[in-house]
Order: sequence, then C-alpha cells, then structure tokens
Amino acid sequence: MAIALSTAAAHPVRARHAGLGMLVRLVMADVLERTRRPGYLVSLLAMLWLGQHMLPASGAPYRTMVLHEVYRPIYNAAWVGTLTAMLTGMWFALIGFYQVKGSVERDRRTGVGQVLAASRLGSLTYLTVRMLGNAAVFASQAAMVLAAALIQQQVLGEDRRVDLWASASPFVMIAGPMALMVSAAAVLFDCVRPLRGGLGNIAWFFLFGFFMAGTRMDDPNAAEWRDYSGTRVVVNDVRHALAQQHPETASAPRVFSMGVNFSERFRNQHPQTFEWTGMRWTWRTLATRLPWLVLTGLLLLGARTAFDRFATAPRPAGHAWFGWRWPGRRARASGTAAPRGAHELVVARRGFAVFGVLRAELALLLKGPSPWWYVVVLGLWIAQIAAPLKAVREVVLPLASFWPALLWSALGQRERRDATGPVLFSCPRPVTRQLPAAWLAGAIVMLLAGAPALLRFAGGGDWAALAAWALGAAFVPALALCSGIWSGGRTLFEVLYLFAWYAGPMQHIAWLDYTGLTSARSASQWLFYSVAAVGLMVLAAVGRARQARS
Amino acid sequence: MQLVLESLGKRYAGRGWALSEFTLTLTPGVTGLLGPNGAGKSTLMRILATVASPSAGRVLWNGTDLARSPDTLREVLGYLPQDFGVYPQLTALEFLDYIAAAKGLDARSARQRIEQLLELVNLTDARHRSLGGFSGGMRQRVGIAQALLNDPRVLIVDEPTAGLDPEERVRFRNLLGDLAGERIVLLSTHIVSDVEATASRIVMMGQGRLLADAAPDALLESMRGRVWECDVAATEVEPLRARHHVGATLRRGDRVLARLVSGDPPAGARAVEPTLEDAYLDVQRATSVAS
Repeated sequence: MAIALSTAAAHPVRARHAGLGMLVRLVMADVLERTRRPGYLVSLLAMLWLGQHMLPASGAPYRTMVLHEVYRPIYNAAWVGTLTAMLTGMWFALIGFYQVKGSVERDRRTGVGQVLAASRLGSLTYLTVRMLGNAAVFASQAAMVLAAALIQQQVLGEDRRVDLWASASPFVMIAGPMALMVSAAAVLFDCVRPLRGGLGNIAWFFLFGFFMAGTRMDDPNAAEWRDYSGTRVVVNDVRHALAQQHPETASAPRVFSMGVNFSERFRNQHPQTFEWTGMRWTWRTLATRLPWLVLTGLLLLGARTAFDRFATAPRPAGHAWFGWRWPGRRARASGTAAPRGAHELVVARRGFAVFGVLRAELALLLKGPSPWWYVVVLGLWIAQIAAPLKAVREVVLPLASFWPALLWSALGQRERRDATGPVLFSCPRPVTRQLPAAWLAGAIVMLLAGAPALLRFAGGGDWAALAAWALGAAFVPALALCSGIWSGGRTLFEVLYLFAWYAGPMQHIAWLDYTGLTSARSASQWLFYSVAAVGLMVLAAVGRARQARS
Repeated sequence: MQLVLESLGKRYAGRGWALSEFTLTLTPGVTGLLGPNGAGKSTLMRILATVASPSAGRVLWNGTDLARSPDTLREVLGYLPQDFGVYPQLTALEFLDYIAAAKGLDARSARQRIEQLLELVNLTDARHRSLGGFSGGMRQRVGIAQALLNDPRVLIVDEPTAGLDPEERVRFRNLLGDLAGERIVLLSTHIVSDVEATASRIVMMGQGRLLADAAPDALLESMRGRVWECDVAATEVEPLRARHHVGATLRRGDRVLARLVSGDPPAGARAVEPTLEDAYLDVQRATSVAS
C-alpha cells in the first residue's frame, strides 16, 4: 500500500492518465459484453428497419411528424437527419430505457459487482462506466438509424445531395442529450431497490408520459427549457422556413404530431414540400440542450447516493414476503417412520398430478407479492362490488387487469431466472404437464382479480362481459408465457402489456382492449383474441420444447 | 437395465466439440465420472438427463432411443444438475412437493417420501423455511432429495458434494453407497476421494473424449510400482518437476515431500501405494502430452 501511495504521489500525471485509461478499458469491456449478446445484432437490424420507416414516402398510410396539413420539408440531408434524430431520441426514452436498464443489477446477480466493489474503482466511476455503456449502445443504434436515413434519402430521391454534417449533427445535438439522460436514468433505477424490477419499468412508463405532457408542444409560449426532446427549437425553425416560403401559412392554425400516426386518408394526401436547410446551431439553441445534460449529472449523482456498492446480497427474485404455506403442510405426515438409509424409503406411486402442479404454480405466483399488494386487491374487490357497473367496466376492471402484471411477467422465464430448468425439464412431459398448469394459474389470477365484478355480470345476465373477461384471462398469461420463454426475461412482457393496457382498456382502442369491456367488441376481435391466445400458447410450447432439449 | 451411449458428440456453435465420439455402456452400480474442468462432464450429464440433445450419436435406454422417446428415461430418472436452482419463495417442503408433482407422483405417497428424504438429508427442522434463506450446502441437500423423489432407476448427479461440509459429504457418500445395487448411478466430480469411496467403476474423460474406463482396483494395479515419494530440498522441487510428473507436495520446514509418478525414479525415492488420484493425474498428463 505504501509503495502504491508513494508512486501515485511521485507521478501524479501518470496516475491521472492511468485513471482515464482504466475508465476507457472498463467502458470498452462493458461495450464488448453488451455487443456480444445474441440480441444485440437483432436490435441493430431492427434500428435499420425503423430508421427507414421513420421517413414515410408520399402516399404511405402513416406519418411520423405533421407540422402542417399541406406542407412538409423536402427529404434533404438536413431533414432526414433531423427527423430521424428526433424520433430516435423518443425511441431511446420510450423503448431504449428498457433495453439498457439492468446493467448494475446484472453485476449484482452474477457476482461481478462484489469483485469490482472490492477493487479501488470508485462508486461514481463505476456508475459512470455503466452509464457510458448504456450510451454506447444508444450510439450504435443511432448510427444504424442514420445509415438507414441516408439510404432512404437516396431511395426517395426528393433531394439526393449528401451533407454528412447536416444529417449527423442532429443526432449529436438532439438525440445525444436524450441518450445520456436516459442512460443515467437507467443506472439510477438500477441503484434504487424498489425501481430495479418490474415496478421500475412501470414507473418509467408513467414518468415518460409526465415528461411528454411537460414539454407542452402545443403552447407556443412555453419555456424553451421544457423542450427536453429537442423538438421545439427544430419545429420553430421549420415553421419559420415554411412561413418565409409560403407566407399564407403563417396565420394557419398550428398543427403538431410526432410519432406513428396511421390513417387511410394519408394514402390520398400527397403533401407539398418546401426546403428547410437545417438548424443553424447558435449558443442560444445549444443552451436549450444544457438542462438535460445537467439532469444527466444529477441523475448520476442520485444513483451514487442510492448505490450500496453491492453491500447487500440480491434479494431472491420472487422472495416470499410473508409465510403462508400450502394447506396441510404444517404437521409432519403421520405414520412416517424416519428412515435409517435409502433402502427404508417408501416408494411414491405415480398418480394424477395435474392439481399438484397447478397448486404449485399458483403458489409460485401468489407467494411473491407483499401484503400491500393484497390490500390493493381487496380495495379493487370492494370497488367492484360497490361502484356502478359502468365505472366498474371502464375504470375498476382495467385497473384490476393491470395490478397482477408483475406476477404474470414471471411466467415462462423463472425456470431460467432461478435455474430450475434442468430439473423440471428432466421430468416426464415437461411441456404438456407444467406449461398448461402455469397458463391456468395465470388465468385463475386474472379471474380472481375481477371475481366480484364477474359475479355481478353473471347476476345481471351479462354473459358477453363474462366471456370477454374470460378470453382476456386466457390471452394475458399466454402472452406472458410466450414472451417469457422466448425472451428469457420479464421486461418484454412488461413493456408489451403496459402499452397494450394503456392503449386498450385505458384509451379504449378496441383492438388492444384485451379485456373486451371498455368498447364494443366486434366478431373479428373475438376471433383475433381467441386465435392469439391459442397461437401464443402454441408458440410458448414450441419454445419450451426447444428449451427442454437445448 | 442399461444405458448405452453410442458415439456421442455435442457441438456448441462457436465453441467446437464439447463431447466427441463418446461410447460407453452403463449398468447398475456407481460409476464415477472424473475429469478436469471443461472436460465435457456436465455436457455428457445433460445429454443423459435428456435436457440437451446430442449433435452426433445416440443414447439408448434399454434399447429405446432417447431422441425419439425421452420420457421413457425421465419416468425413472433422478437428476441433480451442477448449477441446481430453487424457487426462493417456496419452503423446502413446498419445493419438493412441486417437483414431485412435476414428476407425476401421487400427492399422498409423495408426501411420505418427502418427509423421509428431508430426514435423510438432515433438513427436517428446516423444512418450513423459505429456500431463499438456505445456505449453499442446504440447497444442495434439497437438490439431492429432489433427485431421489421418484425412487429413480437411473441417478445422475453432477458435482453433488459441492458446498457440503465434511460431515454432510460423508453422509452423502453413505447414501450413495446405499442406493447402489439395482440402480445405475453416474456420479460426476473432480473430487477423487468422493469417487474412491463409492464407485465400483471409474470413467475418466478429458477434452470431450473417453480416456479410461476401469474398475478402481484395475486402475490402482496399473499404477503399482510407478508411484514414488522423495524428500528433497525446497530448491530442488522445480528441477524435479522438469524431469518427472510430480503430483502432491508437502512442505516440512525447508524440505519438501514430493509424490511423483515415474518409471525411472530419482535416487533416494521410495515406492508407495498408488491412489486413484495418482491414476487420474497420470491419465490426464498422458493425454495432455499426447495432444
């Protein structure tokens, strides 16, 4: 130790450089680890596809940004780069967060964290490395989107002039700060215990919605610092260019939409184009990006405060919060003599074990949550009994369908998470015995979540509502099993379910309303959910059979 | 009752052959599978436990090809994998009940056997505790119990004594000895003393291939007259290693008692009784020299 200290003191410059080198090496190792995962290449290809589709041709049935009913900027180097950069930034916040979250938690689970914690690596340095690793993943995705945008610019052929700076700079100025902020937020969520798992995934979804509402894009007088996505400065500049080239548009009502908007009427509308040569980045426009860099730093410092330096062991996933036991297990089975050796063991007979597996699957689902989870279930039950039926259908049951989401997300992946796969898959009929039991347990949970309302529906003879909820109960665990088995984790289901729940039962988009209660369900929708439930189970079975003989 | 492995091979994408041209017939009794890390032991065990498919060759259980009908073996199989996992929120009793149901056992009779097995692995007092709070050794004992739930005809145990304290290790060895007889027991380990205490047959493997298959006595006989001990100064150990295959060394002050395998012993060396460890190290060394 003394030698190390005296060396550092004698060569302070070298020591500082060694620290920087160490940081680079750690980030490189982190990037290598992430890029060698099987899903990484797939995610890059997906970004290539996305990048191309962010620039819809005239006559396409969707638009990704609407600033005026008639006009849009011509697809030149500046606009393809800027539009894709803005959409990529949104992608990072909406989906990318879920892709990069979990890097600190992985170190905790694998034990690598213990090794790093025992080294001289500072906590803030470690968290910065993880944040930069997240950002590096985003950078590689952004590079793919940019490549796709440049190709699409040539394919669309509205203006084929190449200007790399005009196309690439928006990624640095607009998507960059967003990528850093989301990277830091993912690290913070990894460090705050309640936010590490599915609860964090849900919390981020709502936090993102809150931020989106906070940008107030429809308010021309809103403060520029609110523009965390970097969109406002661009939109204002584009509108300015439009007004200059087509003065009659200056007094037209402001229109703004960003994201994927499908409409058949877009097929017949061929917008007129005008030229926008790109952002001229001034100190003032650059300053609008600053708050988000500051926020990145604050999030990182927050993570540093919450980080326990792996001092606590990971709480086992699905850890029992309270100790209820399966019925009939408290007392030792009577008349069972203690064996003196293996030769004295009684032989268990083969029998009808379906209920045993189902009971065990139910216990696995229901033994994880805290007592508070059950208190909320009780509250939802009371609301289902006391509230008017309309409110029950439109508010209470959608909430009841969402509440067990974190229970379902364990389906299909806990064999991998808890490493019980080898034992379970070496049992007879691993696909036909255990998988249906897991699905049925998930369905029972959903039926129980809405049980009082279902009784009211039955009392009132509303069999359609009963059937709709039952179909939902078949569909949701099938989706969870399929997602869990094929992705190997719980995040895919959590994100899919969150979006479906928000768009379906909450926003009343009939095709996504898996409960079938908030809007009238057509025959084709009944068919869709029936086929989807069966199809997902078949896919889950195929995946499980593949796992069982991998 | 026999489990036949015919020219078995397993290839992993990007990692080459983990197992290659492996042919063996397993019959009742305890077979000890010895090999260094990365020798392909766990790959072989996973294939035999029907949780991995071979890339080449086939496994026959009493004449039935397991690729076509894995359940014929699964019905009578007990398997303890190397990385045995549990559901932490369940108690030991509940977990064993779950595995018993997954194995298709009748609930009532399974319950009796579970109680007895918990007694046998010394976990009766902990049977109502959540597995999340178990130590590594306790979890391993739950693993041993679950492997024995269905009174298996074929028992495949991969590193079963990892994490067990000496007392529990002896208890497990005795249990394994008790189980042998009308069962095929395949015990994979790199702890030679575990095999020495229980196995009636020893299979050694390295680099995915079968290196030796013999009874312990035959292996020891093959080493007779080739194992030596010599007392040398500490500074002479390295030159000794350069000329002979030195196994265990024991330091005593500035002297070292070295155990070596050699056909041409150094002066002053005295012949000693060979052990299975000598045989194991000799086979592995011969393989590495040949490759």
